[in-house]
Amino acid sequence: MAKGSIMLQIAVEQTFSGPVNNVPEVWTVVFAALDSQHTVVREIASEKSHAVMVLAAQNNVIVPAIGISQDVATDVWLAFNDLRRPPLILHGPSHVPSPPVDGAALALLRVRDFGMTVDQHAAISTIRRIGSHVYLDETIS
Amino acid sequence: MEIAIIGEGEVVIRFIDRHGHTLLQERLVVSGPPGVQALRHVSLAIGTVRGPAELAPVVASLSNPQQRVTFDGEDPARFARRRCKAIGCSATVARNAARGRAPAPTPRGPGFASVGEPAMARVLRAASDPARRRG
Repeated sequence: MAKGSIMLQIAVEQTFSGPVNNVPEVWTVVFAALDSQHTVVREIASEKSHAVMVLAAQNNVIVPAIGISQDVATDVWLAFNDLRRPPLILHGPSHVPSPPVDGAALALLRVRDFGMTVDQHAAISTIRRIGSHVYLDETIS
Repeated sequence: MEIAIIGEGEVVIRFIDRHGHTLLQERLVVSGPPGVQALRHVSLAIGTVRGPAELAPVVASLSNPQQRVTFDGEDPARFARRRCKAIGCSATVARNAARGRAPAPTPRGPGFASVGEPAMARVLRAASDPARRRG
């Protein structure tokens, strides 16, 4: 058997009640089994929307400059039943089909975004939404 | 802590402090074929302007009753009750957390990115109303 067309998708939205000194990083994966047939990854894409403000927690404090990526790190791992065979790792974004891969038994989409920490003289106010997806096709070899 | 999600749907997890206040809410949406699973690693502590805070996770809602969630491999209600006890919550807060009851985060004050979205369950109910569909 082969799974046919598959979509894997994960989204994380973080809402904070108040200013914080550290914004936790995002690390998440979503995965599904394949039938070790012929796999082509058709698209890897991600989206991020966020607002970040760094505030002085008291008077006469110089607020640190901060630079935030507009993207999240998204990659797709195709793993095999034979653990001696290294996984194939494909980075997003990609909107063209990958070379065909034979024998993949697991598709895993990994999404990462940075955490941030400031000292007690400053605070971070933020909201963050990120989401990624992969489309892949598994056909009989 | 490792959050494991088995099956499609939207999970809302609220992270409360020992007073039962929600300091962080995470909305996790998973889509995929039957058998899809997701893992998320989170910290159960956060630095606030009032100092560090220990957190307990509460599953506030699941959009799909077939979806399953575990915290470090444990049932979320049991984990929340145990974690609440560890961080010094009152018995009432711990009981509510185990039942999935935690207040929504209420961002307010200067410097906040506001969120005032309606709950999607209500929007879907309204959009599914036959009278509305007929236009």
